[in-house]
Amino acid sequence: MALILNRYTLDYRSEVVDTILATTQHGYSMCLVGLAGSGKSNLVTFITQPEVLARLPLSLAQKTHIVAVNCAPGMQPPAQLYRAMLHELEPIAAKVQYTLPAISDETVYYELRKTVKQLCTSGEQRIVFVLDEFEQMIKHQPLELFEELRNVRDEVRTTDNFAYVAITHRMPQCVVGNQRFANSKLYELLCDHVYAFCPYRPADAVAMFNTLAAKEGVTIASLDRERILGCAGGHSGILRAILLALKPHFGVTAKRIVQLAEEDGPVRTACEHIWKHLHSSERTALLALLAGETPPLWMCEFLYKRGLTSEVNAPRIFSPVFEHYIAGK
Amino acid sequence: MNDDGASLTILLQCFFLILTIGGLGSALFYFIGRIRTVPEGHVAVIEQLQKYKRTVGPGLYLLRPLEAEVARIYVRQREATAIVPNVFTEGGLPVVVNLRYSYRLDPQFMNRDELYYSDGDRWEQQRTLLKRVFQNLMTEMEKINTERYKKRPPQPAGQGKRVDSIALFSPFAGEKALPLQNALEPAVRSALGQHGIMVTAAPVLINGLTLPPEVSAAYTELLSNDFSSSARADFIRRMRNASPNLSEAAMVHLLNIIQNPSADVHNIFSGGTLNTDILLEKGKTSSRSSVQPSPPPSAPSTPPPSAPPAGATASPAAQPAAQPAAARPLAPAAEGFDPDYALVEADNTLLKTTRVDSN
Repeated sequence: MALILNRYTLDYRSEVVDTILATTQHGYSMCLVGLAGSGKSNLVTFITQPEVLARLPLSLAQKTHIVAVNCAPGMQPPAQLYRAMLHELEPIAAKVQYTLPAISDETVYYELRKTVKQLCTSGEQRIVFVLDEFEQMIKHQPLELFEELRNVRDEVRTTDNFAYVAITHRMPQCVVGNQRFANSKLYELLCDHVYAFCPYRPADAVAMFNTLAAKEGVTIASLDRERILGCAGGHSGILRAILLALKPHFGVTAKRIVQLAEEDGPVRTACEHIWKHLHSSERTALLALLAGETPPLWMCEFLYKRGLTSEVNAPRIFSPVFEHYIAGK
Repeated sequence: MNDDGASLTILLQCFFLILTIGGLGSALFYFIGRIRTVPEGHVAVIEQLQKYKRTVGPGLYLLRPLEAEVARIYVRQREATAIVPNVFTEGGLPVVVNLRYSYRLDPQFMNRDELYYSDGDRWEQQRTLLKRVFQNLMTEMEKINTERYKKRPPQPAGQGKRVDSIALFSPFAGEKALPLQNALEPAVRSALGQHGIMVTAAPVLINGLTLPPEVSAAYTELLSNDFSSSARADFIRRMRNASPNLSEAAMVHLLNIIQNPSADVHNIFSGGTLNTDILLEKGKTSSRSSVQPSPPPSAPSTPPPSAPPAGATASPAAQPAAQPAAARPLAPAAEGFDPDYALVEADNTLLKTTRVDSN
């Protein structure tokens, strides 16, 4: 099977990739909300590969460009973000033979707007900016930055040729920042297209596990692999952590794998990472769930959409390992 | 012949007598003409051959040969209201400090050029010196950690982040106001005294602060537009123009305060003046405001959504997108975790899933 970057199958995360392509092709911006360690960075790497655009009709694929900017640590001056965005536009500018001007911190924002306008209108290019770690921006930046990002898009709003994909751990309007992100114009763009980013589908989980095993130089029996995958619940971070913790002896029981969550090591660290980046209401609901209580139905739905539980009506935590970790709380 | 000789002698004697008397008279007139008076409360600047020679005080004095009085300085004690522009508070807000003090001039301590200053020049000199005084004092005040800052009580959970609006004006207001007042007088006295501007024993008072007119105008407009996001963006732009040195943190702090204004804060920003009463108040309660989530631009009175009862069905007809900015409480804070706003049912409606096994 052909792999992109020697690790991603062509239909890797197709449920998310298709959603992104479908949404942004109409000029809509969106927000992807995913659990910590669920493979968001992998998705960003994957989706910026040109092969991904093959899913689009040829005419669209030729003019669509998905570029990613990492917003971490979030406290950087806005000019730094604009500069990074402008840098990502360089290949597109070269394609339409538009020369980017020399920029300074004072002019970088205006140059970004000008360049986007030039590329999306005269150049008829379609640009999708993936803003990875966008939650850090919400936490640290004033609303002014988001107004400016909105203005970049508004400059070319009639063309449907520009969209943002913001990636966060929590619902953006719930993140406490300097000011309420929900009051920003950028949020108005995102709020109708907030998508949960769930753990891997079984097929992706198998493919990624095989890739990880190959990278670690280990061979894992089919039954052992199924056991590990079942315990990880398709979570990329937990999957990798179990592999590292068990290496090189994978023939252990499911009970033993689950117990890794209470021992110091990569599995516990992975679980802590997820736990830390959950919404406080989610943490409360998961604890209640383990205590035998049933959260409100809307919360059950919410947890399910987020990929934290396997069902709405009889919710169970998505990963036995993570469940064991929460039980230890 | 003898008579002729005697007559000539007498004539010569008379001539010399007249000459002497004339000379003496002229000398007397010249002497009298060189007598000058300096009125009370003034000092005269004397030059000789257009070079500074000396100063003389009130009363009679005699201009020496080739001397000329070129200027008079009004030295009597007077009341001053100095306007010191662009002093930055600890919150980073540019303010104009209105200072009151009384002083008299003492030419003995002035350098030669300062003797020739016009009233306008001297006024500008005082503003410059006072600006430097405040720059130094601001640095000193920043080092002061008052008890209030050391022992700030923990904020009660769920009540939002409390922001002390007076802190924006510190050290002119709040607990640092008194140390500032105490340090101000000797600093002003020393700085001005070195240039012959002798501050009297009367107290040096901060009479109030004035906000730059651009800030007041921007605030009024922000208020009239119900703090809408575009109005906020405009406010930020205008603030940046009015105070290019305002830090990002100070801007955020300022926005937090004026979006949740107490009556005092509203008066300060709309009137553009922070009066003495507030300045002297030590962190008074009415000047503190609890910063709750900002009101939504379109529905400021919308109550916070409440959690539905257990078993309630998520309504697909809910309109979360229409009221995303509705005030909602902070979720109870847990140690080691980032704070967040409480999840509400509307968030569930807002969230779409990409799960392929969606049921």
